[in-house]
Amino acid sequence: MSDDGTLEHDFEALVSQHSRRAFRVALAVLRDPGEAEDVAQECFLRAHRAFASLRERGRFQGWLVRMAFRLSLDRQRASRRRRRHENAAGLEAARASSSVDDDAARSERREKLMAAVDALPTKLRLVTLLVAIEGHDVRAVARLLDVPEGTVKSRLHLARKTLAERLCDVV
Amino acid sequence: MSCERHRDALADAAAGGAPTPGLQVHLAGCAPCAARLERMARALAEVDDALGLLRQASPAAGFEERIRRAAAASVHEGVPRMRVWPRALAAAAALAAVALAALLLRPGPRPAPRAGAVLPRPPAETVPLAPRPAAPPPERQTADHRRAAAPHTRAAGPAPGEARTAFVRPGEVGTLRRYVAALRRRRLGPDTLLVAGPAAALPEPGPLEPVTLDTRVLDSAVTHWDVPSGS
Repeated sequence: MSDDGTLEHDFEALVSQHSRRAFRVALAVLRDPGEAEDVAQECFLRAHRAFASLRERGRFQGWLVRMAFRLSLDRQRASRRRRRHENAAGLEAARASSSVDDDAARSERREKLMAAVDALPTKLRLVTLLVAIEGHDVRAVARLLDVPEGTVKSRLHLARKTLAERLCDVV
Repeated sequence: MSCERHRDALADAAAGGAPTPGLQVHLAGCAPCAARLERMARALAEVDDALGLLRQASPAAGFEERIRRAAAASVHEGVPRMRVWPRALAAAAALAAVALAALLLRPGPRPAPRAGAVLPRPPAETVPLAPRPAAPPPERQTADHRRAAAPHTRAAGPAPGEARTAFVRPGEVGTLRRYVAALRRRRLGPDTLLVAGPAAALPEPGPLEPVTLDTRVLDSAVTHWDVPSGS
């Protein structure tokens, strides 16, 4: 098999292995499956462009997770700006009418919880989301972020403490 | 007041930390704090539930295939779109540099230098640069002499054909002479260089007069030397 063929094969293996994780990280931030798929795809496209020069394949998943998180944050900010712009243009009413069928109370409560997660400092937020995605496997999260387990634990504790203080009056 | 003191420990306990003995005692006698701890724990459980859904989330069918197709398409497109921008930026920067260089190097008068600077050391040696008999170089000038002699001509600049003088340090004569020769091709620069000797001792210049210099003086490498009239 040629070098190009080997690279393509390796890349396809990584897609199979990690696409779901990238999607979930993006979904955790964006909370929109369509947008999360777009972001995950963009991550892999970027990875594909740089794949030949990627020396440490073992760090690929960490790179991918951070990239998915960063791109999702960018998209979330852009989407917030867009929403503000729409509000100014008087389009809010149209969106409200389209979500009449939603379970408003449950949706609102969940939005408040997730807004508190969104408001966490970036590092705490990423750890919180990854711990949830990885099924509370602190070691796996430490490997993904390339930090000691103790760092993950302390960030997680600080994140939960912050959430507890912010949310005790919400529930 | 006691509740405030335990607020941090309360959040710690809600986040999974072991409650301190002091907090345990407080909670046993404080119903509001116990309720607050319960609310915090419930809120975190709800967050865990909400985030736990992420573990079950999956992209739509065919997602991996979509990525593979997009990756293959990006290979066939040739240069990825993201790499075009740095090239365009580099080309724009190169164009800007060429335009700036052309602007700076074009022939013509230079911007006026800062006004009023005076030679701190006196001249001791005279080096004529051009044979202009109508304008003999001054033998010795001080800042006071120059101010008294021709403040208005300094402001207006020497008249055409009038002798002009610049003062330089001893080691800079050759450089300045070449520079003046180059300037003269554009009808600029002094006719005489007065070289300040190391032992020369002349009074310090008095307060500077605000003067307006026109563009017929040397450029920024020389403008910290005064260019008085030679008359």
